[in-house]
This record gives sequence, C-alpha cells and structure tokens, in this order.
Amino acid sequence: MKTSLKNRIDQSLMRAPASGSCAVLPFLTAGYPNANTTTTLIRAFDGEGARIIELGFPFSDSIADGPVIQNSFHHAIAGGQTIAGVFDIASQVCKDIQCGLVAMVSYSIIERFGKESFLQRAAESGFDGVIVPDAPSDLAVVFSEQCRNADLHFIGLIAPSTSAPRSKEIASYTSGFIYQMAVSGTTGERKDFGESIAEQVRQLKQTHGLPVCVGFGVSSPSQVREVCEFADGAIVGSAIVRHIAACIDKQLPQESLVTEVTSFMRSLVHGTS
Amino acid sequence: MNQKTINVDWMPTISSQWDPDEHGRFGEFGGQYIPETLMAAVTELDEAYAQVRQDSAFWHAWGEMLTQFVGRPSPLYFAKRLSEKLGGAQLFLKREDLNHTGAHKINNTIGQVLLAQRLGKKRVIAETGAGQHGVATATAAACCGMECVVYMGEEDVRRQKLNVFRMALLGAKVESVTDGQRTLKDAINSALRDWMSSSLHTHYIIGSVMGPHPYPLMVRDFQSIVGRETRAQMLDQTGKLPDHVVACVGGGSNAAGIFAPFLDDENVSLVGVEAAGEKLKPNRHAATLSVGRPGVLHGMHTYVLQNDDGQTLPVHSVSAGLDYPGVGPEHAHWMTCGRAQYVAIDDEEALQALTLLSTTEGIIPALETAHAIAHAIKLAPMLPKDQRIVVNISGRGDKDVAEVARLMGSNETL
Repeated sequence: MKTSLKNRIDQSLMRAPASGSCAVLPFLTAGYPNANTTTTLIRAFDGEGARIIELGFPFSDSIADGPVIQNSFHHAIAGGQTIAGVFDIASQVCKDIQCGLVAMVSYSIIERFGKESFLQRAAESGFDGVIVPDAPSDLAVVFSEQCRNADLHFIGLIAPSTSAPRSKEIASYTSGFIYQMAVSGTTGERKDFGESIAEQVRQLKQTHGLPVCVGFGVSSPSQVREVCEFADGAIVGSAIVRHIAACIDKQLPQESLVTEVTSFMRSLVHGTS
Repeated sequence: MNQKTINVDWMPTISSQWDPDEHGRFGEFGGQYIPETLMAAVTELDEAYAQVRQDSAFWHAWGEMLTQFVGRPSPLYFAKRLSEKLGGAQLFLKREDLNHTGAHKINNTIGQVLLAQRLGKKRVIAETGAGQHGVATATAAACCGMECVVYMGEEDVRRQKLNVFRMALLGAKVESVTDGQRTLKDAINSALRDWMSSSLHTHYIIGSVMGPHPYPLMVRDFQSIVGRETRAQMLDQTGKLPDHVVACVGGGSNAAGIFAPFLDDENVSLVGVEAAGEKLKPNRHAATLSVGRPGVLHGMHTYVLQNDDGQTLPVHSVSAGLDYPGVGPEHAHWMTCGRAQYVAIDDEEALQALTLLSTTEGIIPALETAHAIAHAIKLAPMLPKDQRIVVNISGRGDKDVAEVARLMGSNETL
C-alpha cells in the first residue's frame, strides 16, 4: 500500500492549526445548474478560503442523498451533464485552485465506467480523493488501495450508528481524512447534533490520528462554528445546493447566482474565525 | 384428490450450495452497496435473519398465519382445456392468485412483519409500484397491529387509485414520491432514505428478491413455500416432477420462490419471463436480464438497465409489476451459471395470453402473470404430450381489469 501519498487534501487540512480555524468543505453538484456555473463557483469558493471542495457526480438513483441534492442531480442529468463532463470541469479548474478537490460519486457510476479507468481519469483531471458512499465493505480494502495507487485518497465515512470495531476497520483503509456523519439518515439540514458526535470525533482523532471532518446536516455558520470546536473541518452540502436552487427558482442570471452563493460560502468561512 | 393433504415443511429446505457467501453474494452478484447510515440496520437484520432461519418456532408461527389467514396451500390446477387447445405438453397452474390479497406477495410480507416484531420494531415501511406489495404489507401490518407507511411514485398513485384507497382502508399511510421518474425505483429510493433515519424503530419490508443482502435471500426463502408446495403437489398428482417451471420476472420474487426448491433437480428446466414491452424498443421494455448488463442499483450488484454513464434508463411494460430497471441478484447468478434461462414477452403477447387463459380456463391472471402464460403458450405446442409445464399464476387480474379494458379499446371508464 502506498503510505506516502500527500496531496492538496493533506496540505489543506494541515493549514488548519496555523491559521487558527478549521476547514470549510463545501459541496457542489457538477453541472447544477450547468457546467460553466460549477467551474465559476469552484474558483469563487477557492478564493473565499474553501479548503477542500467536494464535487458531486450526478446519479439518477443516489440513495445516500436527501431530496435537495437528489433534485440537483436530476436537474444536472436532464441538462446534459455527463461523467466525462465532470472530469472536464475538474481539469479546467485544477490548475488555478489552491484547495483540494474530492469526487463524491456512487459506486454504480464507477463500476459502469470501469474502476481503473475511473480512478486514472479522476487523478488526471486533478482530483485528490474520492468519497464513495455506497462502496461495499467487502471490496473496500482492495478498492482503497487502487485509489491510493492512482494517487487518490480514499475517504471513508462513519455514521453515528457505526460500531467501534467497524469504525476501526473503516479508519484502517481510509486516508486523507475521515468523513464523520453528524446525523443518521441522508444528506440534508438538521437543527441540532447529538452530544455524542463530539465524543465520537474526539475518539476517532485520538485512535487513528487522521483528520476528521463532519458533514450531513451542517447548514449554517453557527453550526460550522459548533462543529469546528471538535472537528478538523465542516462539510456543507445541502445548504449550498439549496441556495443554488433558490437562485434558479428566482431565475437569477449566472452572475447573480454566483455572487449570492459565494456570499453564503463566505459567511460559512467567517463562522470559523 | 384433496388439495389440503399435502405435507410440506414451513422451514426453507433449499440446499446451502445455493446460499449466498458471507458477503451476501450469489457468485458475483448481490452484496451490500449501501451508505454507512444503513449499515447498522442491515447488519442487525442480517444477524436476526440468520438466527430466525434456524428457528423452527418462527417458521411454525409463520406457517400458522399462512394456513389460517392467507389460505395456504394454494391449489395446483391442471389446465385441461388450455392443454388440449395447445396440443402439446400438459399445463399445470400454481394458483397464487387465490391467496388472500390476490398474489404471492403476502407470503413475504407476513414473514417480514413477524421478523420485525421479533426485532422489537413498531413500524414497517414498504415501496410499491402497482400497489400489490403495498397492499400485502398494509394487510400484514393491520393483522399484526403495526404502523405502516407505503412509498409510491406520484405517477403510480395516479394510475392505481384503487390500490391507494385499499391501503388507506387497511390503515396504512401512502406517501406519494415526486422524485425522478415518480415510479417504483424512486419509491425504493425514498423508502431507503426513510429507513436511514428511522431504523431504530422501523423495519423496511422490501417486496422482491432485491436490495442489499439479506433481502434477496430472505424474500426467496419466504417465497420458496410456493415451490415446495408445487413439488409435493406434482408428485402427489402425477407421480413425477414437472419438466418445466415458468414464472414472470420483474424483481423476481415469485420466480425465485417457485424455482428455488427445484434447483437441485437438474432435469427440471426453469424459465423466467421478463417484459419485452414494446418489442424491446430502447427505453420501452423492462427485459433487464435479456438485454441489460451487470451494474449496481439499489444496494446490489446485478443486471441493470443503465446508459454508458451509469444512469438508470427509463423502463416500460404494460404490467406495472414488471416495470423495474434491475432484477434480483440470484436470477443474475442462475442465468450466468446456466441453471435458469430467461426470455422476454411483449405487451401484445401478454394481453393475448390474458384473454386466452380467461376464456379457456375461467381464470383472469394479472398482467405480470400473463407474461409467464404467454411463454408457456409458445412452449407447450413444441413439446410431446407427456411433458409437464408448471406456470406460476403469481397474481389475479382484478387490479388490471380497467387497464386491460383501456388497451382493448373500450370507451367505458371502469
């Protein structure tokens, strides 16, 4: 196994202690509402201090995502967003951004594309890691090695319901950072988090020595602040996509959409300082 | 001959060589392709079912319900007039249409409700396409006193008003799903999402041999009562096993149920019949095994209908119950290892078969079932008279009468 893999994910998360704030990791659906807006938003988010951007590959039948992200997927697919097109988006931005870029993608898509070609293409396009929410656990060890061999971190997910032995197993094949889900269920916004999440994160950090970022249900600057008290990063998905959806509903031109959504992103980053 | 004298085990007796491996895989198919938020619930279910599988008291309680509430065993009926008309092999009909609620679906829902009670769950959820599995779940939930929510695509809610109201009468809540194509696959997505945040007190009753392990195994076990009865009834009535067993395949639960007890009988040919819709025209059929390819959908590795990007393709069949872009992983395995073969019947052939069975035998089958009958109608004349074909009459046609009238050009609104 490749142990020396270091890329923008590691650099981004290592900046955290020095700058005195934890990382904000925004999520964007590739091609929502179109590829051009996505590339513009990635550059803008990078400029606002996003440490890692998660780029979602639209999938017709994602079971891990709540209605907001699922609708954005359907919108993007209907608008003609292809998988090759997501790689194009990444290739276009990867040279100009400082932040890390992570592919959030269903195993269904990887399997159809062909595992090795997908990983090779992802690495060539400038991705630094992959999050595969529905990767089967019996293949995860081998798959995570294939990822690292392609110079991609394999970022494992841990849920509030994940048992301690299973957390240990997931952490053993995870690199880059651990994605701790704040709440059970799908992506989406929640009012508050269980007390136990902070404890779960502290234990993970202590036991495995990997950075831990928290997502699922993190939707406001105050929640980002709350998460940053115990985690290395806060992942914000549905709340950003919901802002984009609201701009689309209001039929705002691309420029105003980018301004509005970037301003929300800025408020999230300022929540951490 | 008294149909009620047959003696079958309630406990599944399929030889373990056909069981999935420790990762829930039948050969290369099956597995658990699910988000971590579902892992704890699925593992809990997997462990509970592994125990239940060996627990004769559980199967006895289930058998009591099937006898007293569902009306098992269902008859195996020799279709004399249809056999004579076709002039070849003799046709036998396994009458799952005579079960309470009118289809095989109830065998599984009673089993899963009993399992949910054993797990201490108070609420059950289900997905449904045409509404048959939803009605069977609502029925099992009502008779066992559990709260029930059924997810159904908005499009199906509109097309299947009668079943929507039936579920409401049974005390279930029907959630209309407005995502995606607003049909069965989207209802499954919604039910899975509900389960992710509710699994502490909720059990998800999947209606077919699909989804993550242990569902394909568990649903096949519950449905295998159909095949065990058929086997005993054939031996009782003819002294021999059938030469062919034919069943329709959407997700594939009625086929898996009737096939499984014959897996080791190498001389019994097993034929699954998929929906060719509009003669296999792209996006206008649901013949997943016939023209699809391996991929991942709804937590399992199986045959799927996807485009080159991995996005699920639209599907169509005259029968809402076959209208699914995936198929149970065990069927993919049986096809790959050559134990079963799969063919496709189009909308028109299915409608003709429905009419022929109705007028010749006095049995109006479900449109799903009509696909299996249509294949048997093609097969029988090619075989000698001493050969025997069993067709699984998986459901009755009452639910489809209005749709059939429309397709036959009737102007009356039923």
